Amino acid sequence: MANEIIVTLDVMLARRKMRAKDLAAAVGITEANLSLLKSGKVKGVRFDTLAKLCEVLDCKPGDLLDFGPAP
Amino acid sequence: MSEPEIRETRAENLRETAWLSVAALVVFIVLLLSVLADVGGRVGHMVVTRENWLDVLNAFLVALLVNLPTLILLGVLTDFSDLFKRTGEGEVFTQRNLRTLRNAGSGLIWAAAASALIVPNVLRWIELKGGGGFLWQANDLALGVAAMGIAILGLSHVFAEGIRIKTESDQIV
Repeated sequence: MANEIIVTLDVMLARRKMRAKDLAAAVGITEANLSLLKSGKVKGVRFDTLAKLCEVLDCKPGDLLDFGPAP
Repeated sequence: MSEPEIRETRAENLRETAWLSVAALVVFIVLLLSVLADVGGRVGHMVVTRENWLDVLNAFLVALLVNLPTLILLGVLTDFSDLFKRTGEGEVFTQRNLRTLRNAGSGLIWAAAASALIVPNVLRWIELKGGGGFLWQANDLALGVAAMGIAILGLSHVFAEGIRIKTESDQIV
């Protein structure tokens, strides 16, 4: 099976005990888009969105993204 | 930049197109008054009686027929007005705008066809009570309007590609 980018945002949200709604508001994206991002149903993430996610969740891009076989 | 901010920036950049919407409405009103004046001039002097109501109705229908190209242009102006109003509000690459643009393009072609073909032939048919050959009265203006309609239909294909690119871009958060 081919490897792909896996979004692990839900893991980081659970670690930070933060609600998706609050994260979406802090980052400035809609809840719908955050939900799509969490489920990996997006074609890409803008650098500024990634930077804001890292800032709010106090983590690095590698904590939100992984590379491996699809779950 | 958040999505509402992106939309607001887009609306700011395209604010002046809202003025085009107003301009289209002004032209719409001028043309409408022109049609009303023409129809009134052709029918207004006639007094409707029990005997001549059919003649009045005929005259009214002929007046509408003569003004058919302008009436179609009124529809095109409404399309442009709606389109520019929406773009002025930041709604640009949408299916609704694509439909409006296609309607406007085909409307211009229909207006030219009405002016060069439909109206002269129907008028001749009425005049000769069913007889007559085929008339082709394509003047420079009708050809120009048809060319603009074709150009707008061509641009609508570019617009459709813009919608596809936007849809793809929307999948990047």
